[in-house]
Amino acid sequence: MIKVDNISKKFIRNIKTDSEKKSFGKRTKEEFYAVKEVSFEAKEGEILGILGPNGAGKTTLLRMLASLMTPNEGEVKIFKTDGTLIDNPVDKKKYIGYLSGNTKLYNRFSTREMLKILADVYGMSREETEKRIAFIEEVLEMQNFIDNRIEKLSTGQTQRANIARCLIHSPEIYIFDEPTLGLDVISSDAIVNFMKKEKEAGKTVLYSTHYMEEAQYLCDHIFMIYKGKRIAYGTPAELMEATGTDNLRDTFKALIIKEGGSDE
Amino acid sequence: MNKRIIFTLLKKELTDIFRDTKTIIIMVIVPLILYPLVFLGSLLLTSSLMKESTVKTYNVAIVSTTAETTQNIRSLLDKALVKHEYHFHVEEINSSENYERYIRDEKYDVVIVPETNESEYPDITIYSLTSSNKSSTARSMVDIVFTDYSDEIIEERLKEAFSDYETLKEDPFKIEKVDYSSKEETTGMLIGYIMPFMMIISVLMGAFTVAIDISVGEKERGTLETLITLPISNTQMMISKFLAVTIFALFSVAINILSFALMGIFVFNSMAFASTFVGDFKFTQFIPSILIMAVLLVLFTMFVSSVCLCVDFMAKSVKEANNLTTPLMLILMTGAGMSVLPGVKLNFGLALVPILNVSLLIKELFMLNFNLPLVITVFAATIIHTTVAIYIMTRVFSSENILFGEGLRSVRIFEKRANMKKGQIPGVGDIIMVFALMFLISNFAGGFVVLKFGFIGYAFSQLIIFIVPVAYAWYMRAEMKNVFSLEIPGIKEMVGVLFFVSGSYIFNTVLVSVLYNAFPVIARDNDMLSGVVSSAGFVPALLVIGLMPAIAEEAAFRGFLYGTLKNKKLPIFATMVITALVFAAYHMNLLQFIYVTLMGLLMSYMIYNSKSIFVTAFFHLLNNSFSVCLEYHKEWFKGITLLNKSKFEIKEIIIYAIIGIALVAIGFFISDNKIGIFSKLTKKNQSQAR
Repeated sequence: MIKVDNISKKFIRNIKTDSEKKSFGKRTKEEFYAVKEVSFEAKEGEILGILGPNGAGKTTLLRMLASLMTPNEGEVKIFKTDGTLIDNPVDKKKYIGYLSGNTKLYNRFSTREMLKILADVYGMSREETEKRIAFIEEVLEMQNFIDNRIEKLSTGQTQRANIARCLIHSPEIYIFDEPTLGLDVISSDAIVNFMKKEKEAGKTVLYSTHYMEEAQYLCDHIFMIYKGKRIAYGTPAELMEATGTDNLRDTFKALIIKEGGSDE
Repeated sequence: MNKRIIFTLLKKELTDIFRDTKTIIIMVIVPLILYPLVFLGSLLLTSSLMKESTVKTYNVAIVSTTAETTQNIRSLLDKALVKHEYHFHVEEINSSENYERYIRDEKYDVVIVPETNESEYPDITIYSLTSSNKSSTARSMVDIVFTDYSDEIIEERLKEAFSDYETLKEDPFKIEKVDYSSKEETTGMLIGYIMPFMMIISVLMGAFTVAIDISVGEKERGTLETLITLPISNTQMMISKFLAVTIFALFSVAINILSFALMGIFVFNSMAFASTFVGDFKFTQFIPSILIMAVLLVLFTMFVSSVCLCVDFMAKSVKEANNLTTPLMLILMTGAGMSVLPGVKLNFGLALVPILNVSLLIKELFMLNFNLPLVITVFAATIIHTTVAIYIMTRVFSSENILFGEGLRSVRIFEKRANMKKGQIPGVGDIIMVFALMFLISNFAGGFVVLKFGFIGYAFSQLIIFIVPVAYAWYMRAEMKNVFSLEIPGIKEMVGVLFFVSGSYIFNTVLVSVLYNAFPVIARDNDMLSGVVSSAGFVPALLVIGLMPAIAEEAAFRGFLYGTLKNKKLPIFATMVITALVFAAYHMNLLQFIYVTLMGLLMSYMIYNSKSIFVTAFFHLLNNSFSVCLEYHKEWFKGITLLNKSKFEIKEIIIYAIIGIALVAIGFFISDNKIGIFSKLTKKNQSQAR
């Protein structure tokens, strides 16, 4: 289980100034919140969709959930299946499988070599590793290319290799940042089905997407974020009811307009 | 720290590097194939050119005058073939012809114009063209031929005039030259000039390329984000990357050495001078040098690797990293190259300067100069530089900052002052930054100023020691009162200082004399300061040696250093010891190290007890001023045997040591806040004040 407790993340950004106003000692940087005071929780066997327009803070939020970033305020709590809290931020990562468009693979390794190294880092025994790789190979249908160097793989194959990377240590929580972005129907269906299967196996899945139909079909709960803040939380049905719309796409638009954003 | 994880990551990094064909080509093929090819090519080219120039035939024109003259010149030129192996093709031309045209058109290389006069021999004019290589060579050859002939004629004349010419010609006395340097030393000097530069360049080349690839390169390729999804700590990631760069740079050094050794063997065997050289040449003499160099190079490579990684992690892209490392590379290469400059010799000052010390020590090693204290100093300095660089690398950079580019974590100077929080306490990163700055400025600029202006330079370095920590603290908006312990001192603490200073002075005088007599070698180095001092007047010396350190060194050590550490989660005892040791190390002198550590401990205690920097400043002022008085006005202390002796008997040593310790103990009982005799008084005062 993952419990997010009032987390915030500050960044520093450049302030656009007119060139004539630029002078020594003038502040040209300001702090702003990419994510501000966000709380929610996701239980075992649940898919939580994180939706929001571009630049809303989705990626920052997911990075904090995956312990790649530390929040400036608040805490991300990860619980083992037996309910005990994990304190050590390094240990948290053992329970998480994180995938995003930014997590690239080492081109000069084959998928099998990479998986072996990762298994080593996670502290898995050799026997355990062999078994797990054989299992993943079958599930993701990687038999044809598992021993090829990653630089030679196609986009779809690379994405599967990337998923294999998240699976190797059998994590309890999956955090996927736009996993179906730029994939064809067959590849994205495979990922959607994979998430569903893992949910049924009692895993927690958190994922962000821009495809509303997919979210409506897949998610148990939806968390909407805009300008770093939570604007809505609930099941897809609840959200549609609250805004008086009949599909998630319109719900999304309605909620953004309500917050003062344009619907484009 | 989990060694298995570091090992796995290291294996991954190395596999990744060694599978990169581009890197391998640059690192392996270039030194192993390209260097020898270029070298041998140029060797062949020069030798063939040399051959060509000796075999060449030069066209010489003689302007005809009388048949006899022409014939004489002809036979002279022909004889040159036997004597000098000069090949001339001689032709006769008329004086009316255009010589210049001939030479410019390369028909003839030189034109010789004999001019008959009253004497037996005609005067000779040689026309040539210096801008043409062949013509100027021919000119110098012809010149030699005629000069030889002229010398011959003179000798004949002298022989005729003096019957005892042969005895006159003998040297009046013999000159014999004896060279003490062995063949090993002569070779060593040659190697000593080439080796440091070669070694350092190969370390730099190996480290720079890989460090960029492994740091910002990974970030740009997006694999760094994958890497930090793994359950590894920041330190583990940094250390594995650091080890990978170090190993690869050492590999590059090994390849370079191999390549140069092969070339060396080839040249040695093929060259003519080899036979005269080999004789009793003992290679074994260089084995200690090579072993020491190998260890030094490993340390140095670690230093370079960590510095490279630090710089590269600051960059946001590979391009930016290249921009940052190019000037760094230039600076480092200048440091390496400076060892070749005449007059630059390894001493205790230069032994502390990174790069230059390594370069100079390698040079000394191959010249077979083993100065053990210097070797130890260079090693110690390099270990310290490396440790600091690794510390900065693992602590200053967090994976989050590297990846998502938020700048540096714990060095405050990289932020704008306006963005600083008020009343901060500096961190360990700040301490390192301040002392690195102090060290760099006072070592590079200060060292220069001391050499040039002597006494004023010493004042300048004190100024630096004061300005850097205070300005830094001001910039980061530190809580000045807390960090620099700016409290009004109590009377009992100030009275205590009088006992502390007299006690420690007596104790140290005896201690120094014992150390001087036990280690006379170290003592020699100790006279530098007194040389500086005696060049100035009494009052300036009192100001610069007495007053300035009492302000500057206190601000840096008991102020910034102690003030920062006392706010950290560190036992107060450790804080006190660290301050004392850093203070002693700053004096850069083995002899002083021992007694300055003791004084440093005493001063740490004083500031801990009184919480006021003015107490230690007062102590420092009294102690240093007294030394200056002793230096300038020995007559003031005529009656005191302690201060006029340099060697003591054992009985005296014991008595003085006991007196010294007793005085310090009295100071302790007067000033201590917990168990001192006035402690109750203070507590009462405090409770009344509340």
